[in-house]
Amino acid sequence: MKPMSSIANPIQQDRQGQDRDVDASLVERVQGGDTEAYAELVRRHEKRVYRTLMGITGVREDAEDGAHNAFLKAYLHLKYFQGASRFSTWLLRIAINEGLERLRRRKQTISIDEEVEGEEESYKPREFRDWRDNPEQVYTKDELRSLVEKEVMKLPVKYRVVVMLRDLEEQSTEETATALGLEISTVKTRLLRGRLMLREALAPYFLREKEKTHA
Amino acid sequence: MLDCREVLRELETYLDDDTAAEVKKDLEEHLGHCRHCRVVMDSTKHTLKIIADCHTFDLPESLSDRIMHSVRAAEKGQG
Repeated sequence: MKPMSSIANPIQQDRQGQDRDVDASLVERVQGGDTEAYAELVRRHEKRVYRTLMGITGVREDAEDGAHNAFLKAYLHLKYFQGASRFSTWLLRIAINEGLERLRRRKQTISIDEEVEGEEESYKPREFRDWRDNPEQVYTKDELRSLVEKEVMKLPVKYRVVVMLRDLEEQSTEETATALGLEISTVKTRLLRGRLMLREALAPYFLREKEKTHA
Repeated sequence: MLDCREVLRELETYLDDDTAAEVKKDLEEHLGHCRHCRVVMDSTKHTLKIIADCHTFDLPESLSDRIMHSVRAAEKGQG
């Protein structure tokens, strides 16, 4: 299992520092007129941007068009980027705004900034049957991927986007909070709830044989 | 001693291995005798492992080409 600590360990910090240096140097080259250096920035960040937009819009076409527009906007505004924040954070924020704009156009008024009182208190797990010891070995990788994609997409957007950034993209809690413009405590609450909802949705596929008859 | 609601509240930090030592001890003591909380904890751990390992939401193949095509076109337009 990959480390999921919200506090970056020294190796992660080192990797993050190196990533930041590489991005900063590529940004400088693009700002100096080297358009092709932008292709490397796209390669380094397209997956995260695309997945974030999948998390927000829930639609592949919107995620693809949104990622295209976000990278283009970032390129056109790169001359104003002065490095006060990390390039990845700045880019992700552009992508998130692009995703929210797409939701608005679809007349979906859900806001990921919205605070809901008692969000944490109102959720209680209902599934208490035992899972198999090695649930991931029950299905092929393709079957698992399709199953997880289907159930992640069923999560409400505010939980889905947090789960995708934290658990699929392995961003820290702090990075997720910064990118989404949320308090760290809100990210933690939504992450817990999103994880529990996903657990509940996946449970029927991974129960022990004897448990299935006790539905 | 923590109750089930408190255990649930601590679940996120526990899964992220970020729980204070004294809380962790209480939590593990609770998990030792509460089957429901143990199932929730174990199956949430499995959930995280499954979603981290299965590389969901593959990128569309042509995305970076499409982006760079538009970037080059915009550059020409500006220049």
